[in-house]
Amino acid sequence: MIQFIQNLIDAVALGSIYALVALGVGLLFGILRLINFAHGDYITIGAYALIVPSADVTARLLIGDWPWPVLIPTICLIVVIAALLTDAAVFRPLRRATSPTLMIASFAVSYIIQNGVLMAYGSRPKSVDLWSGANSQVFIGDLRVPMLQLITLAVTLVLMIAVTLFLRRTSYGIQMRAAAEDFRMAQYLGVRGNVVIGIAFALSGILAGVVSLLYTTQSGSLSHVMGVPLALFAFVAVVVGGMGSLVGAVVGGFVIGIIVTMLQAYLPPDLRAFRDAFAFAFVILVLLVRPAGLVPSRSTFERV
Amino acid sequence: MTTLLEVDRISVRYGNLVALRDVSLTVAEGEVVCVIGPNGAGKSTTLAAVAGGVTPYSGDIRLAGQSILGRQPEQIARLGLSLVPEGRHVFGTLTVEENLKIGGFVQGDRSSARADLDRMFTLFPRLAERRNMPAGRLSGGEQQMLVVARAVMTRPRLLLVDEPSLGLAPRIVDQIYEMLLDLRRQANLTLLINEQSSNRILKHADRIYVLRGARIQLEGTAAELQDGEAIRSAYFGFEDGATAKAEIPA
Amino acid sequence: MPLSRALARHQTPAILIVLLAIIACVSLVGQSDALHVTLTEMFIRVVVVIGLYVFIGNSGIISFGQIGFMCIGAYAAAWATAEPTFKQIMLQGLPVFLQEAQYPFLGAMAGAMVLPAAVALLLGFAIMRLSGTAASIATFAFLIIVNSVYSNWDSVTAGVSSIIGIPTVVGPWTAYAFAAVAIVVAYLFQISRVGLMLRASRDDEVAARASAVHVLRMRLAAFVLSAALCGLGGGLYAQFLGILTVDPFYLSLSFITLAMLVVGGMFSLTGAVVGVVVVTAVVEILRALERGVGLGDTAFSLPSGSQEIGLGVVMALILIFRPSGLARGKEIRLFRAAPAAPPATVPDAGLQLSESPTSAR
Repeated sequence: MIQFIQNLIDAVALGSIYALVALGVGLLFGILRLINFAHGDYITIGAYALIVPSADVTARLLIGDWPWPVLIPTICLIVVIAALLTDAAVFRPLRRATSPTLMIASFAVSYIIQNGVLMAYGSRPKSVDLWSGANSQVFIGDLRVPMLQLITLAVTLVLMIAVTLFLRRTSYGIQMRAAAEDFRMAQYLGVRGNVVIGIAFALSGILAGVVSLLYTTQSGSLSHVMGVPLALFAFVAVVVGGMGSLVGAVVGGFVIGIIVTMLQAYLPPDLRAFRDAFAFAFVILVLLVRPAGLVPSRSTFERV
Repeated sequence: MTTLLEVDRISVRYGNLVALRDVSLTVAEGEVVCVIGPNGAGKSTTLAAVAGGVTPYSGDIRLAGQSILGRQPEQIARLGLSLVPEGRHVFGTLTVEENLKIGGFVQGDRSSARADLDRMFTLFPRLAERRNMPAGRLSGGEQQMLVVARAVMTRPRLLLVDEPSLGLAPRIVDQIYEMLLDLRRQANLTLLINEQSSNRILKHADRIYVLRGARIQLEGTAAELQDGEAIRSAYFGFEDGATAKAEIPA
Repeated sequence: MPLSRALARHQTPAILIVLLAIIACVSLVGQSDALHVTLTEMFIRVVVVIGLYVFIGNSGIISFGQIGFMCIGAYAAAWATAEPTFKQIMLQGLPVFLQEAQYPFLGAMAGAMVLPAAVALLLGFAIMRLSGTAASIATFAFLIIVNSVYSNWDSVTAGVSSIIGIPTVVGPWTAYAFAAVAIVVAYLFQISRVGLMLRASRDDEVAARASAVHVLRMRLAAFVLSAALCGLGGGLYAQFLGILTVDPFYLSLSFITLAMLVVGGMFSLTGAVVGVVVVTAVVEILRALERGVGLGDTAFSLPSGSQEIGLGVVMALILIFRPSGLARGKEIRLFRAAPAAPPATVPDAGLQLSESPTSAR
């Protein structure tokens, strides 16, 4: 029983990372119908911004050595700028393009960023020690919980509440929801399309920046493709959640986290290597039963 | 009367399909102008072109003397032109109040937007009762009310309304028109309205344009066109108005 | 006359095949290994990109997973043709009929088509029910599944180590022959009833929904054929390299092949073929620049990685400035068509939404 609860905590912690990524992906999908492959690479950019640019194997911390109250906003700012740049350079000229075109374009952006990082930092993964204290354990009764998991959970909760408040209470939040529902109508009412989309990219960037910190602290290593699996899991979470619903994306993120962790825990050892294959196969099965996802979006006429 | 809107021989194409050919019309400050025509005549395209939703490939559109051709819809909205498109585009997941607030954001002035919101709720008690309800759950007539009120929240000088009566019961349509004319008096609005039928509009419009087959077929003041015969022949494209037996849909 | 009329009517595949033949002849001039490798790879990619085109171009749904089928095909060919001694030691999980025998090239190619096609049939059954964007993501999940299975199933795929001892029988001309076959197959599919209806559904989602079951079956047919062609490309690749690992069949290749299709224009066969040729040329030029060129006294070279970034930039530029690709969704033709309207021409569909006053975004 204790073991199961332990696994469950792992699952929720992993799920909350996926949920944060899925939320960032879902925000842009909602407003732009863009499945942004580059989102994973925003995370990579945030992580690499911590270290001194060089091709050496051992990474020397740069921004990563700064105190937390400065470090977190700086990393977020860098990622936000990167996200806004990709919008200005690629996605803005494609405003009238269809969803598949946008998806392919983001694939191109992702490829460019990955190879850019590769060029600047070399191809070998680097190890970084961002915050070793985070791996200490906290005892709750018989449970041993890594501190980082508690922090991850808390951060996720705070960010989700913040995003919700932003969307419900602020004028730009309301405009963003309106634009996500009917972009052209919102424009007819004077909502500035590019501003709202820019804010969505910025929010998405902030979420990616935070994930890059959480994820780097946990994994202790950097690689130019580190963001890819995160983005992929998030896409799948968005689909499982029902496409176009932010709640769905978050739910999907947790579901994927739970599936992956439980497979890791309960698959026979010789099958554990196939964990991701099982997880994705399971997702395809879920979609076979519920093609519209767990939280079907209100608009039944999804643009292809 | 000064001219508020000038549409100067615009032409619009969707791919190979010509939707508008050399369409011109003017709207003077304070007027109620109506464009009528059968389905597919190009009425919606005309309004969308004025509001920036589609860009004509030739011609010009001027609002208060200033060309607005090729501007983004949001810029045009901020110049004081508001479009209520056909089909009641409420933001269904937003509440009634949030829908109205969207219209108010353009003003930039929070306190006046706040006042306008209160005014709308006084004008439309039905919306006030449902202010926290998702707009998607309103009835068709209520939604039409909401989209008009929302457009007025942007404080437009010129309000474009695309087929306000579409799909609504006659009684509701009467209410909608009453409301539009009320608003016109109260908010100093100039109105450009699309309709399929002429019956109702003849009472209220100052001037009328008949659009058919992507072209303006006829224009005149309501008084000139009072007997309806000329409208009928223009609407159906008969050579001789006297042979027109068919009734224009009410 | 009937022959010339038929030729005029079906001139597109003929022109494309001749075009590739001319390029293949370059291999007769230069005898360098590097040139042969480049050409062979290019023709194999023609097969794969045509495979992508058969599904993406006809259905309008982007798939990121077709490289997974290429992987499956490559391993199928390797299982059929690798040295039995190697298989008995390293691949003990293989069934006996594969472990102990070595099959001829064409048999292996057949296997490289049938196995991915069978997988596509099963998978497609699930994926085709999803909406376009969701289906694209599901194909991505498939690519990950294939990658994960093939890099971990040690007793059958040798895991992350390589399968060696595959006969290298594929050179530029063999690869060219299969590219020609792929062109013909894809052409026949797109002028078939299923192909035409599928293309119609691509351009008109409302009509597509009206006959949902039908569309589902047609998409599935295209998906399976596409998988077979990609698998064939994989098989050729295995028998060209002679050594096989899972690594190449992942995101990079997925990106490169998709870039080829997009650059050429994803809605025509001509686009698919032209895209491969043009992108191969661009990549080769960038590679040469990375190695460095002398400009008078100063040597000039691009930093390594420029090739990948350059390709990404080219693709983004094409999407922005020429969204229907170099071919603009049209098929190449030199002669005026015979009176009967040729079914292969499609209107310049492009990628832009057709404008409509209220729904355009």
